[in-house]
Amino acid sequence: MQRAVRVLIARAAGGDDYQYLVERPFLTDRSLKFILSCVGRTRSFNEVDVLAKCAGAFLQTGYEATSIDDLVAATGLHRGSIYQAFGSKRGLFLAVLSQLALTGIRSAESMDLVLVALLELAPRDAAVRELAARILAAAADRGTPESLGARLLARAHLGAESEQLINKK
Amino acid sequence: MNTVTITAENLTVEPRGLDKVWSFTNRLEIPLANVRGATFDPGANHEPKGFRGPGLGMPGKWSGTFTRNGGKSFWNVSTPGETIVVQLVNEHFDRLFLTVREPRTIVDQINSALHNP
Repeated sequence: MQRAVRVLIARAAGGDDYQYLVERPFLTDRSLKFILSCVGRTRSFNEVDVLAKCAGAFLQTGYEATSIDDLVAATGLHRGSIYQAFGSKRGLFLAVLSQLALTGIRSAESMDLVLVALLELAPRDAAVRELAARILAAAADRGTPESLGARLLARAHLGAESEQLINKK
Repeated sequence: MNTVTITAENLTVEPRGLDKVWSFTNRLEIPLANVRGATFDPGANHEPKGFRGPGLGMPGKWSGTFTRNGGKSFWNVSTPGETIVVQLVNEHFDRLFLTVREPRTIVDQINSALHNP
């Protein structure tokens, strides 16, 4: 039944289901609601906003330890919508990294995100490795091994003190 | 419990033992081109599953086809267990929820076998 309705609508509308349906004056609100529930909802979230929230979750707990439950809580989306939009947690992480590749490394947080990618996924995932390399190449002075190492220490609150600590031993 | 095998072209899911009967499914063959990704997601067990049919739904065990919001998903999950979620495209099922042994290894295998990252 649902499939039949979907096929009918797709045929009549030529693709843009929702707009077509809303403009139909002959449908009552109730039947419109029923048909839309069969068709499935259209995507209605701000992707940049969602990616920023997910980046926050990944920064807090890393990639592996961030569960889909955490991401659902962070974004307020349904689990199904996350899978529908990004395919998997890896797909979502790739989307977050692609966003970062567009904006470039601008803050300490975005540098931490690259560090998370390098530590957790890059050793076993070619796509993440490639993206991370691209981000680092575009970042110039923030992408050097020295600046990454410095950021790693600063994140662990070991900025200037690290040398003193080592010297003490 | 399911056996998941990955070949050069296909992802094969085979419910084990009596799960074949409960889920009305001998095996699922899915071309890797139609797989969008896999995730280790134990929390998915508590997700609303939708209308069952054909299949089995008991507290702690769900096997078969479930329909929710116009999308069909295949479940073969028993709790406590380790669930992976595989998102598909252009297939009969939109999503597979599977209990497997060694979920992290299988998720990595699937994701690294995908043609389209």
